[in-house]
Amino acid sequence: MSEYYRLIRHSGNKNLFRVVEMSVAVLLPGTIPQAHRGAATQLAKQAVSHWAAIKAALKIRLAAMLQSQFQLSSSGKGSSDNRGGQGSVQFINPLHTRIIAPPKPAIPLSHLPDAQLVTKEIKLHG
Amino acid sequence: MVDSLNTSLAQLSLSRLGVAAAVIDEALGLGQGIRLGQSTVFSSKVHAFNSHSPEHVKIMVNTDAGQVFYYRSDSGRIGHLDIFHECGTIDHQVAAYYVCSALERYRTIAVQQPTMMSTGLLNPDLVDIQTATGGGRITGSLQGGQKPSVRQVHENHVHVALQLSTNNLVCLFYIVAAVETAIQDLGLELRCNERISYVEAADCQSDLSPYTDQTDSLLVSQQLPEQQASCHVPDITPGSPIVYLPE
Repeated sequence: MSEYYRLIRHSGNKNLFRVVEMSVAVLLPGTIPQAHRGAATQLAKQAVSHWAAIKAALKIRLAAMLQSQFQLSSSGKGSSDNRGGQGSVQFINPLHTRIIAPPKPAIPLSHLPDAQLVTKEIKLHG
Repeated sequence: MVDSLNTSLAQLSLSRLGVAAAVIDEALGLGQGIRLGQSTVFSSKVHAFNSHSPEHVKIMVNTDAGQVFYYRSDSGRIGHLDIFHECGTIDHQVAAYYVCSALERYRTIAVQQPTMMSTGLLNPDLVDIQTATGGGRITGSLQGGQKPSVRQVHENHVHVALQLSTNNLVCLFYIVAAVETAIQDLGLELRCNERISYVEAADCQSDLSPYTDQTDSLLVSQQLPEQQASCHVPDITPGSPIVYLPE
């Protein structure tokens, strides 16, 4: 197994690195969450709870990301973005990944003002 | 009709929806997707999302929902809605009942409008649904879509496909409101779509077997519903695939 610092970073795995490093960071002594954990006040307990929730969310995201990464062939290349990438889509068997939900709650359509009934996003792709 | 749905639909007067429907029509003409409310993505294409970022829906611009889902030869005739919610199981029979009720309500209101009369109505036989408990035509037996992989991918959204015409786009708001109300009545929270982007797929059909299952859909061909009473039960793709796409 390669040592961590030797792993090659590229646009396809930068988010994976980011999540791994954030997950490791919250475990290190001396970081903000650890300092909170050492405090005995109610405020600190709430902060620990807050960080625990973030850590749990990161863990779920990391698991989902790792599962999707392992579906890749090693030769996968190409790019895609909102300008329209070409051909690098790989479909994943849902049974081989973990389904997570979008994180933010939504307001029902019927409660929204007219201006928010539909929202277009500009297609930069020609 | 259940009270909660009645209340939701009462907020959606037809006079509110005309301008919004025109925006949808324009987006469809440009081959684009559009967000309806906060929870729903709509287009005539196949949608996909990375498993770790379901709030970001990717519209596969070189696909057609009717051709991929139903093997149709025409294009641009099938509309595709994905309504997102917190993970859980939405009883598809309940959701289908809500959609049927909403379309019936729409019909009642629309025929009273002198400018609409019988135009702009959507035949509920031409609407399919899929959730984590199953799916099929909303007026059918709803015994399809039981494959574990198909059910699992719908743990975070309800998929609806319907036959489109330019004058029935107002119905979309009633369908979305119906599904959103069903989700909330079943105790789950609606979730936001935060981003829509566009990608191209080299070969959309080949890798979609985990997403296919049997259906009684009448969207499969362009035959009239009464001619399809003996239609065989085909495999279709009743959902939005999870993909790996580099960010």
